[in-house]
Amino acid sequence: MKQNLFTAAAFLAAFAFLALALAAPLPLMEQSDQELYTQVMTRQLADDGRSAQARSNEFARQLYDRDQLLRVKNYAGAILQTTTAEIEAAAPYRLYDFLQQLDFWSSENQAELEQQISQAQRWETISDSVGFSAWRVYTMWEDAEWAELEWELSAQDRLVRLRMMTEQEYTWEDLEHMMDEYLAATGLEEIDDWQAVDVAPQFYVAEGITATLRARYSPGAKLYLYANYVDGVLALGVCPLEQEELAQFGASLMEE
Amino acid sequence: MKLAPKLVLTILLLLGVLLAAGGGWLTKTDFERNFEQARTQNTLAHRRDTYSLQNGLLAKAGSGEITSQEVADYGSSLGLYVGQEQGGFAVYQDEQVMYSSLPAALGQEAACQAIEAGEEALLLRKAGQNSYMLMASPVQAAGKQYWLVSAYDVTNLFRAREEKFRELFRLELAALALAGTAAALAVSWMIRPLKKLEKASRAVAAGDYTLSTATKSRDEVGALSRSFDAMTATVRDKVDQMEDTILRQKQFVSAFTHELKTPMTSILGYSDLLRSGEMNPEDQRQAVQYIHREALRLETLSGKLMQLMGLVEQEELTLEPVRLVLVLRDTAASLPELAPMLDIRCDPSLTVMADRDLLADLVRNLVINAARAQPKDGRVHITAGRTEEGVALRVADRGRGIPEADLSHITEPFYMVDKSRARAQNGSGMGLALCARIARLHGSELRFTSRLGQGTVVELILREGEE
Repeated sequence: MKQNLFTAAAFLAAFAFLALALAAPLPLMEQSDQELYTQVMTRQLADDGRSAQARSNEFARQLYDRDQLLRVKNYAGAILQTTTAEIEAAAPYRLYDFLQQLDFWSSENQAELEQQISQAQRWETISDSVGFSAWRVYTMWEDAEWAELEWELSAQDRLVRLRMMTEQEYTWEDLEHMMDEYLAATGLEEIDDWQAVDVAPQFYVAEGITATLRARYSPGAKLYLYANYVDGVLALGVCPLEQEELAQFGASLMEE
Repeated sequence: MKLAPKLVLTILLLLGVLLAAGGGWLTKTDFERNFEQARTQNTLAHRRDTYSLQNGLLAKAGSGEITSQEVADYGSSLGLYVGQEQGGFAVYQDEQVMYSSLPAALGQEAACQAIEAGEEALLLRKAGQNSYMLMASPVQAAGKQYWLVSAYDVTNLFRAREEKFRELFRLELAALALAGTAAALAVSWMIRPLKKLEKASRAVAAGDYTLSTATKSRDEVGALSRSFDAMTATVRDKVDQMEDTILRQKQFVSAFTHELKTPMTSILGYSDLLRSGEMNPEDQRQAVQYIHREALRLETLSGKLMQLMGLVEQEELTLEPVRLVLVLRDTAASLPELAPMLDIRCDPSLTVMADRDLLADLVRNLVINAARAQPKDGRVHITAGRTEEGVALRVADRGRGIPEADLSHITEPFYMVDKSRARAQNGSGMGLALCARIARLHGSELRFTSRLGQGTVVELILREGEE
């Protein structure tokens, strides 16, 4: 009898202990919640492999955020909405303001650009929520309609991309100089890991055509900067690019 | 407490602690993972909202100064597609609210704390029953700085955790109940041999050595049960032996008392007659003769008894090679009155391992017994020869023989097949007991073959020795 009572008491005590043990996480969770409610946490984004320097650079961050938040690589080739020159009257001036910060941008360049814009036949434009806007202008060139004038600006009027027909010819030194000035004007020169990229002309560039291609890549910011002159067309711009993608179009980082 | 509940309790406690720890860890890691996901998603959403606000304000600024009303209007329009149902947002300028769709329960203080914490910080605040992640980022437009404060409802994270914990709690209780039942059944099955063992132990304690556990399992309990069965069998044998010994001792004492009493009664009777002084000289002489004879019997009895006791205490003998013919010659020499009856046939070269004196005593006793059997041919035949087992020494007579029922008792002390005749022949009932003991000390035993009216053969196998 006494032993049975003792056994029953032991079972009761064990059940009480088990109930306490199973419920033990509750006060622990309460305590953990209190810590969460009182502490200041840091924001968190999935590790994208970018350097702290690249993260702190506003323009680089905008470029990357657009790429990551909107999943838009760039507007080149995108379908833009048709608009009118009247509506876009202020747009060229935002571009002029940026280009005039650059030493290489001569009065001849400016005159050439203004002439093309003045002869614009059709305007197309598009904007995104990060504040980037792109324009495509169908203009006249030697009595034929060309659509070679394209540019894209950030919300803060930093040039993201420019593509225009030009009568001037650019050497690779010109293009290197152009990229240096571009980096300074956009603030991207704060990023110190820019490396020259060896870029081969694409297969559709026929022999005998002038093709000078210069490019740089920042692994920390995952940004690709390019300045190309191919058969009378100048292209300058920057875009986010993963290092794996760089290899896909036949470009490789050059040794210092 | 008995072993079964002890084991069940131990299993339950261990399992309970493991389940509690495992469940707690699972709930914690699950919540942390979800919280991190929410933190990442909300950080992205806030950044997207910040860009939207900035663009909106920049668009407004394109036309010049931004008025408070314009900011509020833009906030409202932004609020149409920025998920207010999941929290809301507010636009501040110089600690002044320009627009707010934040939950009222959060209050302005929480928004100000988010602004103070800076553009990299994230706060978690509770408002009523809901929990919100708060983030604030500055937005520059038209030369002014605005702050966007976003609140994201993360109450579901905590509710999901509580729900998961409740589910786990129910599962753990069910698992414990099942495990407890299974443990009780398994333990009960496992300790079944122990219960048998306990029952058998109780029976042994009560004096019953016949109960066997007969466990077939090959585990430790099975081994214990088998050891227990072996132990009880040994104890049973020992007890049987002890009971047998006690019985034999009782019989010995009884026989000894009887053998002592008979001559003592005669001595007392004749001595009383002598004391009365009423006997004639012839009767007196006869009485004295009786007293003397009974005294002699007592002396013989005590002598043989002492010899038997001495041999009983002796564990082993130092045996040495002895020529058997010399032993038989000693026997014949010690029994001159029986010498004419002896028919001895023994190879003179036969040598056995023996104690010469004791072996001579053994043969002498066997010869006396054979002579008392009144052989028809008046001879006692002693033969010795080699066999496969050793040297066989046989003492045979063609006397009256021994009843079969008495054969197994004739080596017991004081056992006499015909007591009156034995006493008449001055027998003590100790002779064959002595012989049996001497044979055992020689590593052998006496084998009796007897037929009533035809005679008796006693055989003893001795180890052959080399001189």
